[in-house]
This record gives sequence, structure tokens and C-alpha cells, in this order.
Amino acid sequence: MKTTRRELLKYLGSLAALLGLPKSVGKAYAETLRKLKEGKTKIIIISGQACSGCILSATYSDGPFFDDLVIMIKNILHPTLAASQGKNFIKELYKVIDEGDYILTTEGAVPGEEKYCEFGGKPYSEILLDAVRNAKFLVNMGTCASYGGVPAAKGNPTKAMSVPEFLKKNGVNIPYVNVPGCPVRSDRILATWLYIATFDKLPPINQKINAPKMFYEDIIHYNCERYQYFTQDIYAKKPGDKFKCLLALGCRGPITYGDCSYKRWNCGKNYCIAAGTPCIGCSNPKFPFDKPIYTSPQEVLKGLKIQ
Amino acid sequence: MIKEISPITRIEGHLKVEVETSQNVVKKAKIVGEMYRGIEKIVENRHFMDPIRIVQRVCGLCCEVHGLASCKAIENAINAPVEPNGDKIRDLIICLNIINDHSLHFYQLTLPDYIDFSVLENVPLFLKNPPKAPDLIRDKIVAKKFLKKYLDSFKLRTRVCQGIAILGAKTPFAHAILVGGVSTNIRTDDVGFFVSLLNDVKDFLEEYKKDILFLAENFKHLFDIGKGPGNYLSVPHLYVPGKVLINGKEEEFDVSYVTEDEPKYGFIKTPRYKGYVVETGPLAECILTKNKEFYDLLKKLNVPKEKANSLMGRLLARYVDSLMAYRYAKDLVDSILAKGNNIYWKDPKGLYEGEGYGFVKAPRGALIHYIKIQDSKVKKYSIISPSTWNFSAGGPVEIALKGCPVESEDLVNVGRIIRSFDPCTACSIQ
Ligand code: SF4
Ligand code: SF4
Repeated sequence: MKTTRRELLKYLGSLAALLGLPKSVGKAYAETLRKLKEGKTKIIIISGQACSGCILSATYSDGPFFDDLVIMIKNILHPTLAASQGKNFIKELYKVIDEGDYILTTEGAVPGEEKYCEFGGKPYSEILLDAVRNAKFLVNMGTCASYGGVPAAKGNPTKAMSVPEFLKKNGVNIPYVNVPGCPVRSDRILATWLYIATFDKLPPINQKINAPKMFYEDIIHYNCERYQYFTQDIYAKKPGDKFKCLLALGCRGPITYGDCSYKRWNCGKNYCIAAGTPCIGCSNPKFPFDKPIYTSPQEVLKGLKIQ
Repeated sequence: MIKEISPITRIEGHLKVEVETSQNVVKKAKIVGEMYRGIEKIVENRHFMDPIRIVQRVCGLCCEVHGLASCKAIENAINAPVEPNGDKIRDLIICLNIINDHSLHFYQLTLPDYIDFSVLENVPLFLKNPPKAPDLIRDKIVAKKFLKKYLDSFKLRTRVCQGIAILGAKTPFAHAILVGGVSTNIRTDDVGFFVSLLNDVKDFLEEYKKDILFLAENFKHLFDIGKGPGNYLSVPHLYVPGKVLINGKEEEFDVSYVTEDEPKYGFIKTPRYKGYVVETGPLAECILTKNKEFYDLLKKLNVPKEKANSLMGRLLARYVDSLMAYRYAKDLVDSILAKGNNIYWKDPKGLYEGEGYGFVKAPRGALIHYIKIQDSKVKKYSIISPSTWNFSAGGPVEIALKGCPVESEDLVNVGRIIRSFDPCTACSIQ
């Protein structure tokens, strides 16, 4: 499955079109990839209260995008991948931090008390603040980093919070973008990096959730293949029912921004609603919600009115 | 002298180790888990079906096993039947998860401990600073060959994950795994996909076998270190029986003998079986099932049986586990029906009560979920994951580290032994 340069250019052109940019931008992307290949733009990923789902998901990529991935991950420093260990890893990390000019990517929430997440003899919060200081841009990868997610769910035993919330508390200002999802989907994070590396600015965002418009402009509901059944009030009674809307099973599609319903997951193979199981709103700022996941259409409808 | 590795990289999550050494040998080791979210607490008082999705988020690596263990615990608690075809589909998801996980462990997490990729030009940033080990392979041709495999294994995993998505909606975190089965409808062409996928997996496993044998040949001295407690445990699921081996005596696994104490240090709880420290994982399973494949490989390598309990033994067993998962998956694909309705759904609005266990054979070994439901809400939730067994205070890993030679400041062999257990810190602490 070796991709030729022509194929790659063609692909990057269509990627540009997809992002609402002129096709010629494909060339700019190719140029970026060349720069990345030379190791010019670096990406540091640090993780707090995370599950590693996001970094793994980022690698589940195929097609010409796979080659991008290989080029891109070459520039990544992440403890799950690093050959070095212990002090040597921390040294390596701080060397890249000192050089500056990198895209900082965070994974996971930040605990309210330092002891709940330490790394290399330091609290995660300290590493985060150090890394933010010299970063050019900040990308919060996944729902936990973006909005708090599961660690910050009701009860919140560790007083976990999102990265933007933590930075605000500490009076730190940095241009950032959220790329939510539990976990993030591969193309969402790769395209965000590619965009930033090419244009040296953040992609246009949907301000309601501070996430790139190219993936989170509309709510899932409006592009859903079951929308016609919603408009006819035909509702599924159990998961797996065909030709029915899943609202009565708790579907959060109507209150969640995302492109799952047309881009789908795992290289387009499937996604929740197509598989007959309701959207649980995993990229929603309120995920995992207080109300029951599978029984509460009322809450979903209440959310609908806000739109 | 006290030395430490903090952080331990190339694992899931935040972990450090402190070792007390004398005359360049580890006398005592202390494993500390450094990240806590309190997921068991978070699901308390929530609707009883919520854990399936929330507890699934314990770990992004072995997520599908937590989703299933949670479903099984709930099914056990409320006496919910499982649609047979849906049950097989769930098991197929787990088999693919196992293959996926082991390939990550070998090619990305393990190899940099043995092969110095930094001898090559233009290597990825994260491979530029290998651990400083005297026995690292520094041959350029070998490094080049393995770097290619390192990168190619990403491709295989993407394919395997597409398979999981077809069955389970998406991955990580397959949302189609539900109480009573799966919501997915399986079409005839989906079955075709799996036939072709499993062919690719077969080719991949042949390479994996060559590569693990190459490593074992070149690092035979690593059959001499990393000896665990010699007590083993597995839970009944897929191709593995519920068995325990304690002081050389074999017995059936009985969950009522499992105890769980609060952490002595760090955040990892300390589970014991009848009060004994037990190891779980592919090595335990190979030994408990007297796996022929595994012992044949040892023989081929000219390594006596007794040395199975070692660092290299664990890496070898992980390959064998991938092979077992592949074979089991193949049988499943032959018997899964292309049809809809793969779930017996329990109306979540009903009133439910009860307590139950869910057992799943996870990539890292025995996974146990426990739930107590009252008024359709979670009264208590508890997870004992494979890494909780292995990484607890005074547990198998600390035992395996005793006697580990310390050749350089970098504590390379300490890191290797820890990684041979494939730590998943998020799982062990939640
Ligand atoms: S409620 Fe859910 S299933 Fe129904 S149309 Fe909206 S997104 Fe689709
Ligand atoms: S459909 Fe909903 S639950 Fe599924 S991946 Fe998309 S946002 Fe998450």
C-alpha cells in the first residue's frame, strides 16, 4: 500500500476542498509535510488524567493519510512511544520545551489536587504549565482535555477539570483549540495539526465549543441517516432496530456537535447510530452527563431547544 | 542505594519504580501508580446501565474488555439472557482487541528496549534516545528492518480496528456492546471482510513469530531474570479456563477467594487469592493450560521449561496468546450468522436489583468487574484488572524485580521486566 506522490497530492487537494479551502492548498500541505519530514514542526503530547485512548485512536488511520501519520508521528514526543525512560525522558521533553515553537497537545483532564497525577517526580499541572509557556499553539485532544470528560463527571472525586479551565485559573493565555471526542478520531486530530503547521494559525472554530468548524460545525442529528424517522416520530424500542430514530433510547445526537453521521469512524467503517446504538454525546462538553445514558430523551429534547 | 525510574515510559499511564540495590542487584522494588480518577466512585448512584459506557473509559487500550466485563456483571446481577449470536460477536471483538493490543506491546512498547533505532538517520523524534543498555542491538540492517515493521504494524492495527468497528460501531470504545448482546446488524459482506482480515492477521502472526524468536535467541540471558511468584490465575472466558495454581497445586477459580485491600502506597489496590500473590496474563494462561505451542517454542529455543517464568517467557507467551486469539476468532467467524437482532434488550426503565460478577479474559489476563444494583442504581462498583493483580504493592512485579541486575544508571533491565508485564496503569488504578 505505498502511496505515490501524485496520489498524495490529489488526496491533499481533496482534503483541502473538504476543509473549505481552495484545491491549491493541497500543495501547501505537501510543503508542510516536507517540512515535517525534516523535523521542523514539533508536536509534544503530554497526558494527565487520561486513558491513552486518544493517542491510540490518532494512530488508527489509513489510506494516504497513513503516510501523513507516519510523517507526523515522527515529530511527536509522547511518553507512550518514547524510547527513553525516567530522567532521560524528562530531559528530552524539557529540551524540546526549551527550544520552543512547538504545537502542544494535551490528553486527559487536570486534577484539582496535585497528588492525583504525577509524572517524572512532578505534578502534571507543573509540567503542563512549563510546556504551555513556550508553546506556539495548544491543542486539547479529546473530551477530557477539552471539557473535563469522565474524570470530571458528577461526583468528581479528584476535582478534575479541563485544560482551558485549569489555564484560566492560573491566568495563562494561549491560543487554543479543542478537538473533542471520547476518544478523538484520527483524522480530526491529524488534520488539525496539519492545518496549524501549514497556516501557522488555528483553524476556524465553532465558538460554542471552541472546536474546529471543519469537524464540529453542525450537530450530529441534522446529518443523521435516521433523521427522516425522527421527523415522522418513528422511534426504536430497542438497540439494533432498523429504520427508526434512536431518540427514545437516549440518543444525544440532537445536542452534540460532530461529523460522525457522515464521516463515520475507523476510516468510515461504522459509527454508533449506524450500528443501531444511540449517540451518547461523547464529544459533548457535558459528557458523560448526569442523567442516565440510555433512558432520558427528555434531557436530549431540552437540549434541542437551546439550538 | 535507592534508584528510580520516573516516569516509566512505553506503558499505558503514569507509573514509577523505586529500587533498592546493592552490589548492582535489585534487593527490593516498590511500584507506585501515580494517576487516579476515581471511576468506581463516579459510577456510584448512577443508573445501572451507565457503567457499561463510563467504566469502558477506564482504559483506551483494553477498552473493549472493560465494556464487556461491565455488561457481564450487569447481566449476572439482573439475570439477563444474552443473544447467542450477539455473544459471539462480543467475543470476536475481544479477540481482535487482544491481537491489537499485543502487536502494540511488541512492536512499539517492547522493541526500543532491545534495538537501538537511533543508529539510523531520520528516525522519529521519540526514538532518538534509546535506553543505555550494553546489550542493545546496534546493527543498522536489523534496525532498519525492524523500524519498517514498527511502522507497518500501525497499518495492521488500523485494519483490525476497522473490524472492531464493523462489529461494535467504533473503537476505541465500541458503543454497540450492550447488556444482552450487540446492537449491530451483521451483513454477509461483513463476514467477507473478516475472512480477509484474518488472512492478514495470519500473515502478520508469522512475522511476529519470526521476530519474537529472533529476540529470544539474541537475548537468551533474559530467560534468567524476571521470575514472578510462580502462582497463577486465570478467569473463564474465550479459550481460557478459570484456574488457579498456588504452590504447585492446581484448583478451579472461585471468586469468593478473591480479596482486595486498599493501596499501601500509590493508588494501586492489592488483590490476593486466598491471601496469595498471584500473577495473571498470557504467561499465567500458557502455564495453566499447559499450552503446547508455548512449550514447543521453548524447546525450539533450547530453553528448559522451568525458565518459562521469566522476562522473555512473558514476551513469548504474549505472542502465543495472539495466536490463540486468532484461532478462536477464526472459529467465531465461521459460526457467526449474518443477521440482525443480536440482542435481548432489557428495558432500562424497569426496576432492577441484584449483584453480579463479570469475568473477561483480557489481553493482560484476568479481569473482574463487580456490581451491586439497588433501585436500578449502582450501589457499589469494583474493578480488579490484570494490572491490579500484577502491580499491587508486594505483588508479582515487585517479586520479579528482585535479583534484577543493574548494569547502568538507566536501569534498563528493570524497565524491561516491568514492560514484560505490559503495565496498564489506567486499568490498575482507574
Ligand atoms: S435523535 Fe439520534 S437517531 Fe434520531 S435522528 Fe437524531 S441523531 Fe439520529
Ligand atoms: S455518534 Fe456520538 S457517541 Fe458516537 S462517536 Fe459520535 S459523538 Fe461519540
